[in-house]
Amino acid sequence: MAREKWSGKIGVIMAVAGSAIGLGNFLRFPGQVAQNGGGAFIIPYFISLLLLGLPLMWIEWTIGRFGGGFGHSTAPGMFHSMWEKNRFIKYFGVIGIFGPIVIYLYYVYIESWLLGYSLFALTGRYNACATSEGMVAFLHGYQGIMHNEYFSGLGTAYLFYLITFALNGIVLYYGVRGGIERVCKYGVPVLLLLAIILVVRVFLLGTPDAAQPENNVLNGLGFIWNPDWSALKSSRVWLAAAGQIFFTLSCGIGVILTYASYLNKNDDVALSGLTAAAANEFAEVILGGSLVIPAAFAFFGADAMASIARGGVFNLGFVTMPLILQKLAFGNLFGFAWFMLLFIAGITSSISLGQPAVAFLMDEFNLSRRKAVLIFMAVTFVLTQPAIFFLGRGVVDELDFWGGSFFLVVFATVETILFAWVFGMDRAWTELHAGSDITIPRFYRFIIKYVTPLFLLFILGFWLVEDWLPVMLLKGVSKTDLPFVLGTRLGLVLLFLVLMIMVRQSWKRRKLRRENYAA
Amino acid sequence: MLLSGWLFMGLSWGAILTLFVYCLIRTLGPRK
Repeated sequence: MAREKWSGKIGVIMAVAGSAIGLGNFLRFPGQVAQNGGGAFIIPYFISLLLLGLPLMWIEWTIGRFGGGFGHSTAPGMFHSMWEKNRFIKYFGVIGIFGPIVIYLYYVYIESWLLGYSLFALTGRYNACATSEGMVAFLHGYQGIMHNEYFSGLGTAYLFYLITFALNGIVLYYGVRGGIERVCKYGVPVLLLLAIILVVRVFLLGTPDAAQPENNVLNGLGFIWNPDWSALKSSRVWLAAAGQIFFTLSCGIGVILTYASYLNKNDDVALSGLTAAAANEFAEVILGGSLVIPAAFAFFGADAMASIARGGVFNLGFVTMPLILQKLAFGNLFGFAWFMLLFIAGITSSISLGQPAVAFLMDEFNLSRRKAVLIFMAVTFVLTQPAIFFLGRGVVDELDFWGGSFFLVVFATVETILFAWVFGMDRAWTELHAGSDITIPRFYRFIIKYVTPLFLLFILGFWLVEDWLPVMLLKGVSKTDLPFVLGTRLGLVLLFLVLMIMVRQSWKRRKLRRENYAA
Repeated sequence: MLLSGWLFMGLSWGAILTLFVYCLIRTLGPRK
């Protein structure tokens, strides 16, 4: 079977940018800035981008293209190609398939809410909710957490889930060039355009209530950008900035490895990686930083901002923004633009989460794309059901912790050490620059070899002690939620084991084939 | 918004826009 390829540089950059630009750019980033020192947060944020984000981007693009040269699109084969003598490194690579699957299980469901809400915005279905409490009740009714006058059950949410799930499957079925590339080539410009339209509208808000002149957009921008210098003394702020960079660039999941594996040996990775990162930063700092927080400040004022910023991404996206937008002229259209923007950001990310598992089945088990996609859809459909029906029981938090936090940092640490120390910095640097359109400054050799791994080990250690151990030890989980959380954890262990066995089987088969060929 | 806020916003936007435009020009332009 001939390997799939991107049609060109723009295609792969759009696909990686589409993967990186997600809900976090528009919802998580502004909340983080507002809570962690405003403008001062940008200092550790940019330092993390230079020392952690860009090196990881280049590492993943290079490993991906290198592994693709050996016919591997996923981390087990790539890691094995880089360290052939080690029998166990391929099992570390399982994280690069496991992580995306786990995130996919809840991400597609959340993405389906955005599709639903974009239609609700157009039809004015949530217009009766004039307060935060009303909008929260609408959301909880939709999620099936409570039965109320808005929704009597999960039926509507499930319908939108089925549509979104099918859309993801169709895109994956059409392949790298015909599906993923095509969706991202149109999707990324459209989502940037929608975001620009909304930013312009927010900037034109001025002072919505003349009786409260201090509640205006400029002060809203001040809320997000005025620096609180004392925040820089807090290690938590520095770690929050590193975390934001880490999560926003789609690094450490394995999806960039898979996307880069469809490049040719002499296609550029240095400039392409930088361009994808720059597009993501444009969407995050410039567009994401100018939407929710300034608009919320202009409407609700300084007193309400602390609780809004702390309220989390779902409240910002599904409660605060629709409340604001429905107060404007053509509010239905702006509401539709907001949710459609997030839906496109979501689907261009979720297809990237699906591709590693599909590629693994195709590469390592010689399955056709059709069969691989069908197996992937059947498995993820079944595994998503607990996230849908036990949403309020801690299932999604558990999935997010392992797939979206813990294994991300572990995986990034392993691949960085593998790249810089096992593969070797000289080979790594040469590989990174093969066919390159730019020359990366030489001091990045030092950064990639010493600074990035140390940075990652520090983050790993700090988060493990401060944040992760309590979650691992199930601290704070209520007795009623415990069976659901434990069940999810058991399911994840089983999924990981199944993937490890599949890797083992695949390598055995490959070895047998080689021996038969030699005989 | 304070002057320092404007400064941070201006510098951040300037840095990102410069990088983004540079990357676009290099990516879309002829390969050296």
